[in-house]
Amino acid sequence: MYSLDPAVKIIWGMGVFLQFLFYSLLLGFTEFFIIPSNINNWIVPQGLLALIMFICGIFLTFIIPLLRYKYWKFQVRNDEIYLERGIMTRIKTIAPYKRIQHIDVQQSIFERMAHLGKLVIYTAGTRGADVVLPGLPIEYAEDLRDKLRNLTNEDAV
Amino acid sequence: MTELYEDYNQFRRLHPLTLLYGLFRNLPYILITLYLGLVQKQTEELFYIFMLIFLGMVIIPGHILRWYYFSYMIGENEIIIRSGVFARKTRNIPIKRVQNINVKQDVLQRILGIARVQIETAGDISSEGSLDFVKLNEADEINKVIRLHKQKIIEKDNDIENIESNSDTVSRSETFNPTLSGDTLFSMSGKDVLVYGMVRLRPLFLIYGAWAASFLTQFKYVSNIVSGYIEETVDSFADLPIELLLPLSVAFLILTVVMSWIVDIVWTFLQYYGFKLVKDGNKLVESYGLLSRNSVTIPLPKLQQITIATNPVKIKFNFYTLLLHTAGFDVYKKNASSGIPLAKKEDLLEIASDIYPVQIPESFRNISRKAVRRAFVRYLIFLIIPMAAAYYMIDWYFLSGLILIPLVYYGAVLRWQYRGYNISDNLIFVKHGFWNQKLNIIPVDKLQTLHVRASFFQRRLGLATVVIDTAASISAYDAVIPDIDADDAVMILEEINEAFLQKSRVIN
Repeated sequence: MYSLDPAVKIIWGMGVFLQFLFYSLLLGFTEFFIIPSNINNWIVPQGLLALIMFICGIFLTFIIPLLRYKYWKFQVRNDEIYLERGIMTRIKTIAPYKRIQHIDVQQSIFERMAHLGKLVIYTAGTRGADVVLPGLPIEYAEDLRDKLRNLTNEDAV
Repeated sequence: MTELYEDYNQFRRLHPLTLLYGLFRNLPYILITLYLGLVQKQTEELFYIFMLIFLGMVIIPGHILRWYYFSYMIGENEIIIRSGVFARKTRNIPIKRVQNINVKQDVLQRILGIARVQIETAGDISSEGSLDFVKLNEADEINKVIRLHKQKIIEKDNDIENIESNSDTVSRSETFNPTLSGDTLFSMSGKDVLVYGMVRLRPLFLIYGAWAASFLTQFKYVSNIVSGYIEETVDSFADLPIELLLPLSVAFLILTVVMSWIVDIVWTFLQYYGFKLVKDGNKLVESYGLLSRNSVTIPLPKLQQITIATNPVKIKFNFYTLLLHTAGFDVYKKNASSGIPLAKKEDLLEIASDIYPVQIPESFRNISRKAVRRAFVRYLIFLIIPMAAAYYMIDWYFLSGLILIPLVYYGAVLRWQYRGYNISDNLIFVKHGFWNQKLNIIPVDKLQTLHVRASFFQRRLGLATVVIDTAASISAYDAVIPDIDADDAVMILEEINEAFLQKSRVIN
């Protein structure tokens, strides 16, 4: 079983942070401009909820990536790829190579800076169809993609 | 014949009656809008003015423009469909990849003598096409031309490479959908269809009642009438002696259920009249419908999953339903219930074995008994929260709902009892449901990905859920083994995967 590249924690952390930043800005905006201030102040001081949200966000920015990293494991086996992941709901997945329809390496801007990439495996399945393997060193991801591409099967229904 | 080729080798428009059809289809909406906007003069409702402008400026000219810019042609190697008024779209469908051609007609289309031609391919949805609508004889011609083109391509391929074996050629050219020829596996007489309507027992009144209510209340005029009527009825009820209230409401309820039952029978009769299932080579062709004719093709190699369904009433008469799920492409999404609507168990199993060799296991393994606890808690939450809210806001007598708790527990036990699974002979069997009893059969070689999932609460009880993902478009429950022992789940995961690998090695 392999773990992901530790640098992925930074990327995940950024994701969590940006998400919470967005939500707390949204909440703050609602509190200051949408809800009439007399009603709002009557319940909690204006902006307090947004602040709490933001503080929680900072906290989770450190916690979530650590936990997610801890539980993320994968294994490239002979006939299939095996993944384990999930903080609250743990999921183990088997994706047989025979079922790969298409395979991609994707990179976000942060991942490009960290020289990481994610391998996306498309199958014809209808639920949770796409298997994503994040946080791989980009060269490794590309090697894996080329290796698996030979095994893909276009008409896999 | 060559003339036919020539005819279709240039861009053609759809039949002009398509426009009339579109108009007819939208007629109820147009009339309602016109009526409310012009006759009722509800002009204070801006909505209708917008609707009128929209109708006049956008929808009707839009229909005409869309028709004008839609054209298709059937070349030697590909079918080209051009569409789009502003954004022009060209869709090329390689004839080589065409699997089926479905021709469909509803009542109105029948009167107008037009039909819809659906071209299905093996592979993704983006390469499928639908011609709405062409003349009926054109539909047949299109079918013929494409079939002949494909035949030629296959012959040519054989001449050049001479690799494909003869038998392969036969089966490949047979993947077309001509008129119904082949062995009839199953057909229904008028009486059979009536019986089917009787035992379906769908709560139509809930669905359509809610739909009709939500639709009608959009219009002030109608909703005024309705609410007036309801008020009157309630008033007249209030005048009645109190002893009559209970029997009357029970009678009303029974009447509603009976009405909905009768509607279901009529509906089913119209839809399924003349049902016929034909096996033609490696595909099944279903045709049915009294007023509308439908013909649906199910390519057997694309079959993903089989479901045998029933309900407690059907069981009394030994009636079962067979559902065939193919890969979730466009056409099947709307028509997932292909198969045998209703048959006696023995007949159904015999036909099923013609379609896919299946041996139903005698016994099933139960899921963990702890599942009862989980379901009980979950149901309890659904019971307690509304009840507590009602108690808090209205009155104490809502607490009497607590007497339902044993019933809820019994429900949880039933749910557990009717769940079961079995993995044997490269087939995965999953059964569930008390009212809608389903036995799902998933061939191991059809799996796409496999998962074991354990939520926080499941992990506390040492449970996990196995999810078998196939390309079938079905509800989330049908290929899931929930709440089994976590270690068992992992073992099953490996077992299924091993079976899959072995099977796929044999095929290659």
